Amino acid sequence: MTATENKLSGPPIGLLFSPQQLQQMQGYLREVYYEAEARCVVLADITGQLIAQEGNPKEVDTTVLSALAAGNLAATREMARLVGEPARFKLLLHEGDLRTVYLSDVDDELILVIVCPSATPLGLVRLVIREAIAKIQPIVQEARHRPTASAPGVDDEFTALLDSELEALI
Amino acid sequence: MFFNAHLREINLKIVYYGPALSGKTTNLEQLYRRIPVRARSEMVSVKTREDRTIFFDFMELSLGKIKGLTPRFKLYTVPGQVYYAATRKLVLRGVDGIVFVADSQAGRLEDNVASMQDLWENLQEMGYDPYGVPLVLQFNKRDLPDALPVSQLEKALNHRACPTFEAIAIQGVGVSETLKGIISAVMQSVYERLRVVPTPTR
Repeated sequence: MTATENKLSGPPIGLLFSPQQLQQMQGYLREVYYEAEARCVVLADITGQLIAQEGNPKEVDTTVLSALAAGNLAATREMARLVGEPARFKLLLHEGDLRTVYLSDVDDELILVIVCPSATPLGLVRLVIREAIAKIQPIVQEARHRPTASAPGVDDEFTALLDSELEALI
Repeated sequence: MFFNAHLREINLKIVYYGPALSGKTTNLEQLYRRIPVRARSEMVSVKTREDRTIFFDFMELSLGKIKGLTPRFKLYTVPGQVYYAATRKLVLRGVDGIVFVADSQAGRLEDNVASMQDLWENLQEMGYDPYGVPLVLQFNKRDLPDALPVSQLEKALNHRACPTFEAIAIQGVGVSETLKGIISAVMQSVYERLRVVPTPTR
C-alpha cells in the first residue's frame, strides 16, 4: 500500500519527498537560478504549496508567489479546456519592464516559477527550464511510485503543543 | 498537505467557503490584524475593482517549531458569487480543511444551503469523500436583528454534526475560535491519515 492508497476518507496526502530528493531538486533550482540569471526560482505544487526555492527570500515572498502561480496556471489550464485546446499550455510568460515571470508545468502536479530580469533572453530561459524539468521529473516519478520519506511525527503531544501555541498567538 | 522532510515543515491548506458576502474575506482580514507579523505572510487578495473576491484571498500562518516540526497553514477564501463556480473548484484543490462561513440572516438561508450543496458537489467531483474532509461551520453576523436561531441554521446546514462557531467577523468576534477549531480538526485528520502511511521501504 502506498501513501495515496490509504483507506481513510480524509483528503489525500500529497507527494512525500525524502530529504535527499528535496536536496537534489534544490540543486537543480540553483542551476536554473545561475544559468538564467534569475532573481528567484520556485518549485510548487498545483495546490499552491511551496516545495523548494532558490534566491533571496527577502526579495520575493515565495509563499505568496507559489499560491498565485498555482492559481494562475490552474486558471490557464481551465481556459485551455474551455476553448477546446487538447494539450495544456506548457509555458506562461508575464513580461514586465523590469521583471519577467515564467510559469511552466513540470508535470500534472508540479509547477516551476522563475522570476528573471526582463533583459534575460527568452530562448535561454526556455532552454534552462527544459533541462531542469527533465531532471526533476524522474524524482517526482520516484516519489509518486515509491514514497521514501518518513512521515512527519504528528501525535497527541504535538497537537496539544500546537493548541497552546495557537492560544498564545491569537 | 505537503510535508518537507528536509526542512521538517508540514504545510496544510485551509479554505474558507460559503455564499457571497457571508464574511470569508473579513475572517482573513481580522486574522491578518491579530496574528503578529512574525507568524504570518502578507495577505493577498485577487479582487475586482468593487472589492469583491474574484479568485481568492491568501495568507499563511506559520508557527515556530513544535517537537522539531514547523506547521504552516495556508489560508484561502473562495469567491462566493454563484458565477465564479470554476474558480472555487481551483481553490479547493489540495484542501486539508474547510471553514464554511454561513450568513445568519433569514434572507440568506437558501444561499447558505445552495453554497453547502455546491461545496459537496465540488468535493465529490474532486474525488474526495465529503464526509471525510475536516469541516467546521461558522454562523456569522450574529449581531444582525434578523439572524436566525442557531438551531435552525444547524438543522439546515450541519448534517455532519461538525463543530460550529458563532461569529461577528467584522468585529473579530469568533474569528480566532473558528480558526483554532478547524486547525484542531485538520491535525486530528492528519494524525489519523499518517498512521496508515507505510514505513519507508529504503
